[in-house]
Amino acid sequence: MRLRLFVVTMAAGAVLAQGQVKSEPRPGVTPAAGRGGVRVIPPEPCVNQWTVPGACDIGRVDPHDLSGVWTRATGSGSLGNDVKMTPAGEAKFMANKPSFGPRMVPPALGNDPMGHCDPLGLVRNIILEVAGRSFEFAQMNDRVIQFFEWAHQYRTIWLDGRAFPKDPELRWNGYSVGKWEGNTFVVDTMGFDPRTWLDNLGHPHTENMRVQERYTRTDRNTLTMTFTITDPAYYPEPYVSGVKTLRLNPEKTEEDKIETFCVPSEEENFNQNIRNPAAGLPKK
Amino acid sequence: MLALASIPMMAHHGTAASYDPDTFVTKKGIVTEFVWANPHSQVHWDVKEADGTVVNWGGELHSIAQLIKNGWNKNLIKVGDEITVTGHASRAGAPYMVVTSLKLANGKDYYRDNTGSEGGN
Repeated sequence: MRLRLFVVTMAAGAVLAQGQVKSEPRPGVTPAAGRGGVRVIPPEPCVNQWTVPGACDIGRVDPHDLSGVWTRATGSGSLGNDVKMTPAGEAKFMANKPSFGPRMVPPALGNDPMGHCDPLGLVRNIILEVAGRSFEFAQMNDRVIQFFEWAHQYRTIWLDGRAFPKDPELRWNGYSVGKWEGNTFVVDTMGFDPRTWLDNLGHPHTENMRVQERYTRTDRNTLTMTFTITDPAYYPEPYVSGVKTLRLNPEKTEEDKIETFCVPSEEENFNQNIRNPAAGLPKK
Repeated sequence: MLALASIPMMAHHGTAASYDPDTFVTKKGIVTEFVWANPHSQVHWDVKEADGTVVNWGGELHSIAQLIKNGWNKNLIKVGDEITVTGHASRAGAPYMVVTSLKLANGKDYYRDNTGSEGGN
């Protein structure tokens, strides 16, 4: 597999200078406390203030602790309608028939993998277009697990300093390694299964795509992130996302709300009995 | 009425492509099936038209979590119940709608999206 040049892009406004943020241990909660070494974010004193930016100062939390369920509050859910593509990328893009945006067709006449609960892939998962736009981080000593609820998909982000595999088996969410740059958690990913779309507009990618995500916890309740996609076969220049802001979701972090789930058999039943006939196709 | 949320916020895959957000239709009838499921629930009901024919309508609903958030539950309706359903009609002219509100025989209304809901599933 040919590796592509990976471009590191700093996220404007998303990086706090190292040492700028005060981190203090909380009484009774050590950085590695909790079941299985997962860090625990206590509900006090910031409970019910999660929608207020800056309500809880970063000094009350460890900025290297990203544990919890995060729900996107701002930022686009797609790459946008003006992404530059190569001729090969454009051809693949046109073969994808989405049900959103200027090229939308009824889902029954499209080919969005989401319509059958197929894996969304990393970029589409982190763009957070669905399911309350939430994901959860669970931190361990040597890895971080990121869980995407709607599709019940997860990925492992290795923190043990390992290098990428030289010829990885392709994965729906790729192969991820992470590191800290100051208070920004930087995740690099490669080895993607090319069957996924990057967004609901049908932007494609190749198996040689590289993705870098940059996450910064700017206060107890706020996480900002950006990502950069590098895939020169389809995109002549790296795609750099805008800053996406997420809020800590206490309903799902501290309670146990009803799950969301894309269930293939239930989606197929829906497709046959509602989606397809609603578009004028025969009901099976 | 709380149900008049914008279509693009309403579903995970292209509701606006299948249903006309500018058109509302209301159909009263008898429930033939209620499917409580993820990522979409469904309701089907028989509607007696003015000419005496009976047409079975289908309604697209949110996911279970979203419906619960909006006050629905899995026992809300059962086969044989009388319901009055309002929604955006199928662009293809088929007897299907994406449901925006459902009224039970007791007069109580249930909505697809409540105020403050993000919508989507």
